[in-house]
Amino acid sequence: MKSELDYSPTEGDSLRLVEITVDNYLEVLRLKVTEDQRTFVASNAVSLVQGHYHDTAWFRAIYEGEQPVGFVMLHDPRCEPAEVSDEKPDSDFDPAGKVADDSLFIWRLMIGDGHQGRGLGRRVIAILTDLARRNGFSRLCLSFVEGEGGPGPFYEACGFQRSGRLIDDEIEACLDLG
Amino acid sequence: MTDEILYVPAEGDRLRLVEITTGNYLAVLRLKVAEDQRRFVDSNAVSLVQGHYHANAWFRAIYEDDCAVGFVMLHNPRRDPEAVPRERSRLFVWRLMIDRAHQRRGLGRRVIRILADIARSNRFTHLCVDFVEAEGGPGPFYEACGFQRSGRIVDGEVEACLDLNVEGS
Repeated sequence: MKSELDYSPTEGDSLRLVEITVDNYLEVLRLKVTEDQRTFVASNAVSLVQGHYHDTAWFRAIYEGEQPVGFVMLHDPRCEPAEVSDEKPDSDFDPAGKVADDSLFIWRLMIGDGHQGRGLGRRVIAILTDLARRNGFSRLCLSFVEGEGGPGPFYEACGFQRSGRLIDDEIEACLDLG
Repeated sequence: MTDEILYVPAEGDRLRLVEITTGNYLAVLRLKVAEDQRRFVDSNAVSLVQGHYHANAWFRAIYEDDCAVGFVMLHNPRRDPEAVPRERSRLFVWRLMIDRAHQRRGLGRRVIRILADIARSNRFTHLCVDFVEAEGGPGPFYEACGFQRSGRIVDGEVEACLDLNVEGS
């Protein structure tokens, strides 16, 4: 069963999550992070493919007004298939099967290079926090690669705390919603 | 009449087209053409995204035995409300790639034969393609496979078709 999280945009917020369709997917494909960030996050093309093949994926374009400015993909552990196939993907990070049911997981998050430095990422985290709460999760989690120019400091500034766990060599950090 | 593309692998042919699923999509994403061919064909990631968003796309992985060696995406005009009558009898090769490690073994030509069979059994009269004309591009390959230029230019690309009524095509 495909993940269907309950989400509706906040009234008055110019930032919102929008479904990706045949009409806007090309604009989403054109969004790229800066050159030096590309080692930290997969391209939106790869993310959209994963989103289509994994039932646990819930993905949306991030719009500011009428303009796509980023992309987010969540991992919804409640849509995990009862039996996990032995055919384990051997490349790329896949949180499937490693997340507790009460944690909503940020699988991918990017803001396009022309839109960074304006606090949009932080506002997206606020939207995701609301979304996680509204859908009954007690934590919002993610994992990241530690490195110069990586997203660690951003998430820590948003209040995420390291859980001490490593997921496929990435550092897990969570925001407690309790 | 169904507007779906029907395909059954030929018995005894080690080359076949296989549906892409959660179990094999990562193998498809890893397939790449040679560096100098990349300006002629999109990555499989982009193609798979397009395939998922366009109802008129029919796409499969190309397998040799149990190994993914390439990717093909067809445009099915019967599912395209904008297709004009002359296009409705033409099955279009939208994307075709063979991984660099598997090129130069004649696999592309065998895939074209499989696609011609698919087009014929689904009652199309032509199998068409359009390509960028340039040094190192796929033009000579398609012409060696029997495709003939139609004279039309589609989005700056040269259209060429295989007439399926011609013996031996």
